[in-house]
Amino acid sequence: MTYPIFYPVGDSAISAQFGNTISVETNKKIRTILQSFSTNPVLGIVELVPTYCALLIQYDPILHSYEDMCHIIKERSIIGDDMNSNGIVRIVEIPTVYGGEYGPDLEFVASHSNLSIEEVIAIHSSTDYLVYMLGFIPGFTYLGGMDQRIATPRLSSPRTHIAAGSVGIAGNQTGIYPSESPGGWQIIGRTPLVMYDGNKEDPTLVRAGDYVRYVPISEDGFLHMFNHLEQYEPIVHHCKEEEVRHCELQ
Amino acid sequence: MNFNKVAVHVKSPGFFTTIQDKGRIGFQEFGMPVAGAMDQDSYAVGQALVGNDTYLGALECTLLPPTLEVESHCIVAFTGADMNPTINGMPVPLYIPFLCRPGDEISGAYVTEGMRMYISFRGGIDVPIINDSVSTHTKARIGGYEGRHLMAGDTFYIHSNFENLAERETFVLEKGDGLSNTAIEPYTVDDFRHPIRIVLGPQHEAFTDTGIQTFAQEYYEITPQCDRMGIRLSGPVIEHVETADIISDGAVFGSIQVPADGQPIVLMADRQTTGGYTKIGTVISPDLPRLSQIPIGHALRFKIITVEEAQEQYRSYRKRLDKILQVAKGQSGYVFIV
Repeated sequence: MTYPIFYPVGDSAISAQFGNTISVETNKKIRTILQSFSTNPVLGIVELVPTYCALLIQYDPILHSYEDMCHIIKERSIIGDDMNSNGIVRIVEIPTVYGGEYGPDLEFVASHSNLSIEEVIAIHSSTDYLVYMLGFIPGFTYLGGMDQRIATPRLSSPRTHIAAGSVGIAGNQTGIYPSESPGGWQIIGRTPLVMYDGNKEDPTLVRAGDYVRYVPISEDGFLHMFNHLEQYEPIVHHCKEEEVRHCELQ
Repeated sequence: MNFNKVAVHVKSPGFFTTIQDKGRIGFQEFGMPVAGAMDQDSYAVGQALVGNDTYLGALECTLLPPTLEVESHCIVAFTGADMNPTINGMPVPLYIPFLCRPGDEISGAYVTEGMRMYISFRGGIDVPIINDSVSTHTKARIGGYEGRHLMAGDTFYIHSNFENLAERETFVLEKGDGLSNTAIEPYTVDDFRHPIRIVLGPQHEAFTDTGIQTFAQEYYEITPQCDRMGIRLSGPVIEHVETADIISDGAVFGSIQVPADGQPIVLMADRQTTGGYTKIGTVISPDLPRLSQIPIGHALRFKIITVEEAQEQYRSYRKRLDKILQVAKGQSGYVFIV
């Protein structure tokens, strides 16, 4: 099958599918096209929603027919293939305090994995996680690439209240709760950063295609940052793809 | 005293009343659901009737409207489903702008037709703007009045345009006048009987031919499990080829997802940005306002059309709607009083 494959999503949207498995390559293709639309916008494109294998584009059917849209996306994906070679990626640091009241399930994850707490922290914070997409709730990141050694099933009974910024593990996934919510993930730590700010044009620190790097901090470090957030400038590394740290056991 | 704003006190909240506008457009990439008025047409006509040049916060009332007391002069209009609106107990027609005076009470009764009525205010409702919108998303507790539906005892404010509304020229509505706006036609039960038009995709290939046929030919009833997130339908099982699960992808207002039980769910204004179930098709945007007004218990039918037909329908629908909005805008100059 040659990708992209197009499907209509009603009269005002189109879905372009770039693969049928969750993979770094597929995500890269989608990211490149997304970038191409942001640097070189097309009038009448209202909204772009990147997901694991597909890009959904909402558009104004008065300006573009479905067929036009297929052509536009196809063109962009060909150009994308050419310029994709020297890929620079963004790695966003997420300072995280592990364990204690901030990560009540860290001990359980450690015992479930037959590791020490220090080893869990070291494994969790030594991998850069690809942000495949955002969804579910505003600012929630679907991350890929967690080390299988710390994979832990969800809580048998979800908590009714999880603090904003909580970092959790569910199966072989890891992620951050951007806002206070109920949830069943094993909570191992917390970041003081605001993951979604509705007053900003770019409301999230991370976007689909970025990498997330958890950086362990102390409780004092957390509290200081939490209380002086306006002074904190998020640390973002622009690196070559080879510099991304992958886990040992995927 | 706040001289720039008009206070509105909520005496009774109605069944489920939220502040809505066009929704948060352009932030789905970050996982932000769109929200916004379920019946965008009725909402937009309401905005035009009160003379708002941009789309501002209005009340979306579900089944039963609130009872409100306004503290100063303001201009209101009722659009959408008929909830027999009243001002100081006097029945007033939908689709006509009215001037309320200090102490006036706005109320109404259980809906006679449809699901949702909009109460628009000249100047719009003043609540914090989040991602360019004041729309309420109650499940995410974002936007509107503290992220929730209105409750008795709440007070919200309307932006004033610094007009002297007290001395504005108005037309008096006398009891039994039988005033109605014939230029803008509200919903009738008849509208609910027409099939809902859909375009197949993006995952129609996940269904058997029999499944697609069932979907296109049978009646599906709107169950009580219907809210701003989605409308759950009940009817003959739509057969999958194999699985109902997909790698999560984007969804739109009108996406029809079919989980493993074969019962379709139409995703509506408050839907999450992505979903993990097969989507057999998408309701065309001209039919969404009508769909959002179909009452619980009604059975509806889907009609499959091509994307080319759908876009043709969309273009003529836009023309029709723009004309109505223009008429409504013109009528915003003719304000009535009870």
